[in-house]
Amino acid sequence: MIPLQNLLNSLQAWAQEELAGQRRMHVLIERQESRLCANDPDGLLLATQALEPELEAQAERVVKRQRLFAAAARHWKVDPGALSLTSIVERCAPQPGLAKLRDELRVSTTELLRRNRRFSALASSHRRFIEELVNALIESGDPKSTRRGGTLVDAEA
Amino acid sequence: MSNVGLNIGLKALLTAQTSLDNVGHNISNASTPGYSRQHVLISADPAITVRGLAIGNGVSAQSILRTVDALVQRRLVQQQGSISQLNQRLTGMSQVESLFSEPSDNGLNNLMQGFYTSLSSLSSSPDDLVQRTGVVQAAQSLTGRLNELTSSLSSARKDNASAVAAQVSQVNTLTTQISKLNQQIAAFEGGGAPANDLRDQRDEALKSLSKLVNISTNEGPDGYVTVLTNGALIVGKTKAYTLSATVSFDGTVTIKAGSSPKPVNVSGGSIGGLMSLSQNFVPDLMTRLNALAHSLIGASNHAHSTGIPSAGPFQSLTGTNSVQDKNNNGDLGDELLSNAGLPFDVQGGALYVNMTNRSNGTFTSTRIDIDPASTTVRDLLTTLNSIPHLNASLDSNGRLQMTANSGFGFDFSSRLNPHPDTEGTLGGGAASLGTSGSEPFSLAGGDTLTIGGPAGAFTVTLDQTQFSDITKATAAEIAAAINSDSATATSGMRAVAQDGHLFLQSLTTGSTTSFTVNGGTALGALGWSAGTTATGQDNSVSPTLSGVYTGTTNTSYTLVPSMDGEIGTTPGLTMDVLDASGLRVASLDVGSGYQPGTSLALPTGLNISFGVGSVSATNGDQLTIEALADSDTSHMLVALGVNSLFTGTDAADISVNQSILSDPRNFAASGSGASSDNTALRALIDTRDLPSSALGGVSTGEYYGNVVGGIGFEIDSTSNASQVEQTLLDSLQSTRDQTSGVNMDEELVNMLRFQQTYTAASRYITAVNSTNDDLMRMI
Repeated sequence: MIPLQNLLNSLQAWAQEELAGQRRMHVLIERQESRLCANDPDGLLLATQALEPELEAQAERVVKRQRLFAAAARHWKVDPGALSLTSIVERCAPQPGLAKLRDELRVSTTELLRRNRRFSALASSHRRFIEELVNALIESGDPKSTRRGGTLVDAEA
Repeated sequence: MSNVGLNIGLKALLTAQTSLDNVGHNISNASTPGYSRQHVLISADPAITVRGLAIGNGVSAQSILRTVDALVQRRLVQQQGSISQLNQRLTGMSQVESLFSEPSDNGLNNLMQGFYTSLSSLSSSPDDLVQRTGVVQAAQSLTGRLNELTSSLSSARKDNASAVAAQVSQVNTLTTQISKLNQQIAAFEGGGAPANDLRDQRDEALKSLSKLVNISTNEGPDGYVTVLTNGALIVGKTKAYTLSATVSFDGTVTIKAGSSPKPVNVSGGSIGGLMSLSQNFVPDLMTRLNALAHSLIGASNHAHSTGIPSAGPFQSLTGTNSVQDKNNNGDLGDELLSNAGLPFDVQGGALYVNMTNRSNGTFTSTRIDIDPASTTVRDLLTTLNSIPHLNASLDSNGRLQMTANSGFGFDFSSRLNPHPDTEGTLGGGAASLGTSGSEPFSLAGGDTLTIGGPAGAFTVTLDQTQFSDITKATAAEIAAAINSDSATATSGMRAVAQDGHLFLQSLTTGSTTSFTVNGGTALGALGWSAGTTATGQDNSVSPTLSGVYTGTTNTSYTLVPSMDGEIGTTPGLTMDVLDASGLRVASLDVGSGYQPGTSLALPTGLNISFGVGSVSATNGDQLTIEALADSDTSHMLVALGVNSLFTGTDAADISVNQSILSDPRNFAASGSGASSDNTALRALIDTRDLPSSALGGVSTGEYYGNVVGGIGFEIDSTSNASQVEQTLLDSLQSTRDQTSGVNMDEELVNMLRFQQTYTAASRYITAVNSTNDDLMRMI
């Protein structure tokens, strides 16, 4: 069994890694937003592709977090699903460092989710506009057929 | 926090919307002339700190800018001016070229050839009325075509000039538009945002303006652009200055800007092209065509004026050109021939007037020496009137009128006088004594000659007032002085001047007539000795001239006997032939063995025969024969329009002489008066290839060929220049399109790429949401 203090230290290290990872994702999502607004598809693709390693790293951190939460559950003999970072802090002697990290992580994750949803809404709106433009540009000429625009088979034929 | 998030989201949405709107704007205007692609300037807003965390504040659109290369834009504007000018010139010159209709049946070249061909046809039967009518018709076609060409060119000039006025109106519309755009741009940009579309409109207006006139522009820091054309301001900071074009009756165009009295010399754009056409190209062609017509009139009339029509010598003639009172003193007579307002120049030379006695066909030829710088119109009239049986005056229009007395006719031909010794100075029947030397004679006022004549002795005293300079007296002056002396009037004698020699002759002929020079103070100067006797003879040698003079310049031959003797009898008697410089060029054997009346050859196509009689070298017998290639080296007849084929002075008014139009028999084809003679006609045909100094030393045909060839050359040069300029313009336009144009393919590819990226992005959006939703539950 892992001593409690070691477990708490490991959790603090995980939280710091998670915060750093989220900061990088903040930057990438902000870059996605910026490139979308600037009509820069190449820049948007680069920013999007840069998220791949960040998400892989976050997946590794999820495994690490689950392992630490499982160890903590064994320590207090409870179900791992019953634990959260807040309940761990409350169960232990005062842990100001971990409590501070927990607060920062909450703010950061909330903002990351908000920004991700905003980019999602923005991209969705952008996508509809672009679809309209593409349809207008490559439509057959029939005003009623704008939705059928982009059927390049006809053009090639 | 949530307010901040909403704000960032709203800004992002607005920015994205702005960018997309800009894409739409670019695509919508992809085909708009002069549109410059626009782009949104986006920047990240400064981050904000929330609970110690620096959180990005999103992006926002700072400005929308035109993508423009100002240097390329400026060169494009200038290039438009160059190519418009060249294309306008090319169009105008091609239209002018078509007026000449070369080569074609109706072309001037063909009509000129037709005219000379008709002359050649006539030369085989110069009196054929049908052929003469053909010549007149060909001449009419030629003059009509010249008139028509000039009229067409004049119209072309006026049309171009009118087009300038119309295009100036377009310039004013554009400058007003540019001025208004200036105001709008300044007002809009005062708010801090660039007025992209207004600037595009202004650039387009400037480009349109440069197609009309060459312009230079300058943009101030406040966004105003000022426009100048050839140094004249047409768009200022506050207003446009109106251009005005005035077209005079002859097609001269004057362009002015605003209220400035100074003309603006627009050299570029289509107006520059039109100005070049109407002020230079077409007038230059008209000038050259006029020079051609002037030369044609001058050369043809020169040949024709010395010819003789079918009816023979003239009874009366009136010139077609008028003497003008250039010194405005109400007297036409005192005008020098060099300044009498005549349309063709009078040259220093001689005019020969032949008077024919219609009853026997004999004629006398009078040489009139003319120096246009000293001979006045009155001098000319006086000399003409001094010719027996001829009357000359100016009519009320200042035109020369000549009339022969009844029974006489006159002409100006270079025909040979078959009986040249009219004064009997070479073996005539009268007693004759000539000077061995020629003028001038150095006499003194009051010098005397004492002669024992057929009616008794008499003394002549020479009056100094009858000489210009008695110390350099001419033979003609001395003869006139002797003949006017009262003592001579009853002496039965006279004095004659010939070729600078003075002759004393008895009025009666025959072997019983004689006179003796007895003395006097003038004897020494005249080379005579006291006691010299001259005796007449019953026969007269009467030389007879025949043949055709083939020389190209006027000359004279003087016949001088080598000794005293009788033609055909005296052994060794020869007749020396001296040329104009006094050199002996032949020696004719007329002594023993010569059969009187037999023709002997003189140089250059002439023949002479001598009758029975005596000649005397001792008494100074001699005869000078004028051999004429041109009987009017002064061009007096051309200047006065006497016996002319063409009337008028240039291509606009050239016409066939009305008297010839009315009756083709008035066409003067003959050089001798004989109906079969075509000497004058051949001289007229020869003018076709005659180089003219007024035409730069080439013939009329060559000159016209150069004129037409010149047009073709100009068109080729302009066309080549236009192609080069068009290539440059295309290159500039391509550069401009690459920089400022909307590339629809590029825009479409961008959008399709976006669509591909959305798919990738949506996967990550889901992953980020899923992972971090889990995380939120764990915190």
